[in-house]
Amino acid sequence: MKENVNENKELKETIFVNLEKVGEQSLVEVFEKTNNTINSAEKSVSDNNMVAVGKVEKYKGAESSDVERVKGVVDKTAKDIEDIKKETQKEIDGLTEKPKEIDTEKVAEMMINVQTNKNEGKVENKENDMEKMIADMGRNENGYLEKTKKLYTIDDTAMEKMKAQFDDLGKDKIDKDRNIIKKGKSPEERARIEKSVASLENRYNDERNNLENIKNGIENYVGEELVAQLGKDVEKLKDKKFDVESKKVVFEQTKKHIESLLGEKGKRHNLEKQKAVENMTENYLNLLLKAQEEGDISKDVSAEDIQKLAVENIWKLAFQDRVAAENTLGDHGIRHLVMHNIKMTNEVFDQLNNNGQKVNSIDRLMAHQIMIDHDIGYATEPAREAINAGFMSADRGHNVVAAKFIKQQAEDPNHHMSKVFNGDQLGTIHKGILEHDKSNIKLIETAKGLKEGTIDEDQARKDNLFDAISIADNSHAFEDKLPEILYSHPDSLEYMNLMKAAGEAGDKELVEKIKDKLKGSVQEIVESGKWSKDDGEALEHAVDFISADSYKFAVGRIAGNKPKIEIDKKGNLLIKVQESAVHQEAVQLFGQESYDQFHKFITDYVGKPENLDPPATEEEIQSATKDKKFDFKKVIRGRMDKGETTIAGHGMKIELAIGENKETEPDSDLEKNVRRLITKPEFMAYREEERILEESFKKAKKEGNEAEANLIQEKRLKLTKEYVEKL
Amino acid sequence: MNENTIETENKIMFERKKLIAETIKLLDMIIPRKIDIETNETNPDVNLLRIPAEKCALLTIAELDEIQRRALLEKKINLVELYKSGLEKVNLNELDKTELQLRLNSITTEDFNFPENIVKKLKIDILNDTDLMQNFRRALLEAISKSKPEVKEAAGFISFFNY
Repeated sequence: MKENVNENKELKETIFVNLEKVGEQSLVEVFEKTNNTINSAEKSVSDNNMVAVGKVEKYKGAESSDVERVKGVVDKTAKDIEDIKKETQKEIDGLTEKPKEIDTEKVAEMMINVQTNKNEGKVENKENDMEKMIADMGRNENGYLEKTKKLYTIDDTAMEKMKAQFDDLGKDKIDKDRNIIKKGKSPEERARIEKSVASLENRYNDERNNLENIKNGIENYVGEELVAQLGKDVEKLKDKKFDVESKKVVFEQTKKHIESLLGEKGKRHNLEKQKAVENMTENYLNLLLKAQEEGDISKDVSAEDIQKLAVENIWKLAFQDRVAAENTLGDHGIRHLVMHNIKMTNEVFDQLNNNGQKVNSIDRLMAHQIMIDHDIGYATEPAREAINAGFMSADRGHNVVAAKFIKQQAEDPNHHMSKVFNGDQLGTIHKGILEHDKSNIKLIETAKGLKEGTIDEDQARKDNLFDAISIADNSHAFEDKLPEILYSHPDSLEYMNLMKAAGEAGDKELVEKIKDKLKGSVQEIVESGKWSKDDGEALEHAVDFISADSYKFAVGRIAGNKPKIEIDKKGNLLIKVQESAVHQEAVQLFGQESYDQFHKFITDYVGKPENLDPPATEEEIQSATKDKKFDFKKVIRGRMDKGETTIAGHGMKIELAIGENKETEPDSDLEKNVRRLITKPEFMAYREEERILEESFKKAKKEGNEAEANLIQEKRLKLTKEYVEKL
Repeated sequence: MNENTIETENKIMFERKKLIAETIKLLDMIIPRKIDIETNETNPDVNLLRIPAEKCALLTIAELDEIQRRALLEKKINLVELYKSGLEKVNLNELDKTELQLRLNSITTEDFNFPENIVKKLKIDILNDTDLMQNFRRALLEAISKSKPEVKEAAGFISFFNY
């Protein structure tokens, strides 16, 4: 501060001029009084600004009333400051006593405190922010936020969660080196992409993540023809309300969009997904009808809006599925969104319903909508572009981006989402998307609260919905959540195995050659008509992501399958995971690495080691602590290493059915592909020699015989090259 | 898929799992794979010896009924006996058979504590690998490929996942 005093000569001179005019004691009192009042007023502005800006600008969560209130405080405080200054000046002018000895430095410091704050624009900038923010929220005045204002009544926990994500991911260092970098990006392009995804705030505020731009991206994908078709579909339903009769038309028309996007002659060919999405659509429309009967959806809802809603859901699913197929991240397409998550959410609801808890059709309907939209953050352009350029952690905070997507729909009174769902429902969908990865399951508290009458049915239903979403989403860790290329391309695992051998031998050229061969085989499948051109493009793109390490990662993710959920009347959750046959065998190769997701799931739910049943011992905690850092997952791993197949705690129990005496589910198509590969005579012969070479190489290295090791690597490469040539 | 096919598939899967479990159990008994604490790697000599041994074990176990299998797992056979058992089940020319038997006979009880000695005597690592060992491995694979589907699949899994 002294530096400021010295630097600000002009202000200091002004003070001294004033000091000559007035008596010391009175002057100090006046300054102190003024300064305290101004400081207090400014603090009030600042605090309120922080809260409001935080809520609205940063977290998009404040109510419009908050904005108005803070704006009032700002205006009032600014006026107060001016009034106090005028009064002070009057008092100074009116003083007659001669100044005595004074602490000029202190007075100057106080003055400069005020002045500096103003010079630095703390108050003004906040006011500007407020103005901007209020202007942005001006849409309130058009009336439509009245309907959706519940969207902004996210509870404090939710705010904290979002804030924590921003704090955490704002500092997020984009992990660009871990994965292969896609070719063809100039340094300038890479720099731009890196900047755009450098933090969650950048990603959130990126205008490409605005509703209109996401919508355009989806429409570009489905194509003009389907967009025009939707226009015609809507026209046919003009002035009709949504009811049993119009539902039939909506369904038939929507089916054609599904056919065009996923059917035999569609944009992409996948009959399994086509069937799953068709079933989902029928359920969705039936739930709408039931929700109307139950009074949760207006009977005045137009069939046109439902048509738009149903078709756009299909477009969103198809688009997300396409983007997910382009890379080798875990699946975020239709298998995840519909075939696992929606199905599993319904199973959780069924369990709760069997226990006598109320589940309305609107709850199931909202769950459908949440699942359809919850991962759209992966498919938005900033994340997609960055991931495709190799910035793999650009997907972090995808829930926040998806929440923005739904919020902007809710804010638009003309959007079919805000015409079909009311404000409270939109708020629930928004929260469900934002918190889909939450781990604080309340099933026990909810069951207890209902029994004791401490919570009402509406609250219980809402809590159960959020829990169902989270359980369903997290439990996909127990299924084979693999990149699409492994499902679609039966030989991709073979290519990955070859790339591993070539990569370990350090032959990048051969790795590329194998990739090119894989791309070539993708094209052959396209030409055969089994896949569409779009399938081919997506999968060819995904090949760029395959590296020498992909093999281990992919096989490690061949997880158990078909988890079964049970919830008892007290809200205890039991997940029975029946391992797939392949996984029982695969897991031995990679040891507990394959269980990483499983361990994460448990630790997230159980929360603390003392919540385990039985609680973690001191010995377990010590063995899971390295460099003073405790890793809860190691406690779980340790128990499983000892052969425990049941892990329990905090009202949750997971049973892993492993071993010879347990019943095993039949192999899935993916597992059949693995079986076909490993029994292929040429592959078996190659694999046999490759193993001998690999172990011989390790032996030579161990013995320090570099010359021999090099010779072996040459042989290994020759063997792999010869095999590749025959592919 | 009709019911019969499903039933057959399930039977193969069940048998395959049993075969894998028993083969691994036998191998772990005869030539256990230990992880080097310093390098976190398994011993390459042990791994080299296990590669033909797994096929020998599989072919041997596959021929036995439940009781015989239990007896085999309880009986303390050694690696040489296991290799010899495999040798009996493959189609290898007489010259190679004799030569391999000679090599196996040269392995002493003392060698069982030093897998690198056995590797050396059998000339199994790639730089010392002879046509004989390659022929033996090929013959083992050929025998496997002619076996029942569950044996073929079990061999594939063991090899692919490098048990």
